[in-house]
Amino acid sequence: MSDSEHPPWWHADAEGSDEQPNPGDVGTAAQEAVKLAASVVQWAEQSGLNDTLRGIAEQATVTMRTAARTASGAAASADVDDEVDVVFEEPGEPPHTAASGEHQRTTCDTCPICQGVDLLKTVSPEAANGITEALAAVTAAVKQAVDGLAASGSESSTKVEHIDID
Amino acid sequence: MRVMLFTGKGGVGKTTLAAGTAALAARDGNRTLVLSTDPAHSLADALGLAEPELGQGPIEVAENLWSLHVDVRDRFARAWGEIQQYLLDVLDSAGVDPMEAEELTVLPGAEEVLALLEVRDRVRSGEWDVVVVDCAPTAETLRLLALPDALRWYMDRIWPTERRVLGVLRPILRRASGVPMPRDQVLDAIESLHADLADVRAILTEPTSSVRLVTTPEAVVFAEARRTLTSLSLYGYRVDGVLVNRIFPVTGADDWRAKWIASQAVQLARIESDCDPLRVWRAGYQAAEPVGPEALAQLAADVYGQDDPIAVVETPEPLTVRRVGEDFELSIALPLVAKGDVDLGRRLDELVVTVGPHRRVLSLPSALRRCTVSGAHFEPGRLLVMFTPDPAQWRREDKSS
Ligand SMILES: Nc1ncnc2c1ncn2[C@@H]1O[C@H](COP(=O)(O)OP(=O)(O)OP(=O)(O)O)[C@@H](O)[C@H]1O
Ligand SMILES: [Mg+2]
Repeated sequence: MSDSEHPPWWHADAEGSDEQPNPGDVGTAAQEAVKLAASVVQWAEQSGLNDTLRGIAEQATVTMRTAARTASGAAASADVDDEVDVVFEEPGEPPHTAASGEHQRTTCDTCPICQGVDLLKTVSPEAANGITEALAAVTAAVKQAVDGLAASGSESSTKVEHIDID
Repeated sequence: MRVMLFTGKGGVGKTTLAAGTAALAARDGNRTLVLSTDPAHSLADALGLAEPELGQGPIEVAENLWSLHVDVRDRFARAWGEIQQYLLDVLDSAGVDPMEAEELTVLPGAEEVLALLEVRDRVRSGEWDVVVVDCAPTAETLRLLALPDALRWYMDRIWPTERRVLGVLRPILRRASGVPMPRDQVLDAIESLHADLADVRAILTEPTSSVRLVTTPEAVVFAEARRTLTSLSLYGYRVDGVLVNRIFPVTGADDWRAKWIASQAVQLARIESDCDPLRVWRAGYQAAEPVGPEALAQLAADVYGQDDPIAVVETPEPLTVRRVGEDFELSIALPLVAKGDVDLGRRLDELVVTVGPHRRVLSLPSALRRCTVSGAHFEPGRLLVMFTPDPAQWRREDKSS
């Protein structure tokens, strides 16, 4: 996408308010993000939505893989085409395993966030650098926030307590 | 206002019996609307109508009987358009071919959900005495409607923070990833989709709404109907009857048909005993396809006999809460399962009930939130959970109020 083209709507606010957010805000937001991530993961696990989320993640994976194929041009497409077919034929199999040998993996295999990061990396090499930088910045902010949280005592747990049925 | 949903395995006769019930209700003087969540035109075929034009409103089929072919394109654009556009933009930023992207953002099952939004609007219009819905083969969509309840904790507690976080970090994330972040309109669309789904579910779980299961007297077909009955009850839908279709006439049978008759008799007995206390109605295998309002109404009249076709049959409430002294007893109807198949848990304001592959996350009514679970008991067809008020929590509430 070149800048001379019509800017897509999501860039509409880029001209006006696209400022670096205030570092204080980022700290707070990151702190909230940590709580958030932990609760979301627990909530998803305990709501039986794992499969749903996995389904979404898998769909996203297929989508991103298609994106990667398109972005990387026609050269390797025959190869990747086969891969995508396999993914569609075996929806039970997490798609990333089909091609995991291809990419160097620096993240975990299971969580959707890491899958997402991996996939974004397959999309565009320039984006990967940007992501690494951003992640480093966010990680630092997050770490700070976590330290703050640990000191203040953590959120009440959202664990499911099992109830015996007689 | 009466809402009747018909579901069952593929090809068992859902459309035929839904249309038949509607035609009979109309003949009895009720202003009746029948619609299908199935994008195929089989409802129009069964009613003997020409292929409906897209965007056309309800068509009068007979006196008091109207049929509606739901056109979901418009709804799709309204409910999903903003979200889909966002996904398309994400894909576009990644260089995906627009045609291919379009295909990737099609939501499986979305059409049926949107058709149910149409049902909601028609019910709310107050124009109809009876709305009959011919649903898709599996009751998957109805189960899907339990999602807003399961998501309630998320939407109440996490979503607002997530929106805030996204608001602050959006520029960083966008610049870093090169992937567009969802704008407020997209987040608004997600919120209203969530609210719409909750609203549809509220209508379909009212005491005047019920589901009728259609099956045939065959072991494999009924096995699926049993599972559907269990899971619909778990998710709080009222199933008030079973229609057994394609029963062979007993007279004048040759050897081949005599075997089928014997086997159907065995299955019929089993269906009667398994489904008790639900009403079981029987529909004979007709010599020709029942097509057109008269033939359909006649078939339905034979099926319901003396029964009022649209009355809600008294069945155990899917979910009740009653006071027992100082305590509360919450009861969930779970037909056709054994104690060992049921798993129960509590998390904050939610009860998590798992039956086989299905899990319902139930937002507790406010009185029960301030209680501790003091025990749980399973009896055939029902799970009972006892709640005892937690003095600490009630006191805290008193002080704050
Ligand atoms: N009792 C019956 N006697 C004779 N034919 C019947 C009977 N019930 C249904 N049929 C015929 O069987 C076929 C399938 O019925 P119908 O379309 O109602 O099933 P369905 O459950 O809606 O199918 P689908 O899952 O494809 O929506 C139709 O041709 C219909 O006319
Ligand atoms: Mg049908």
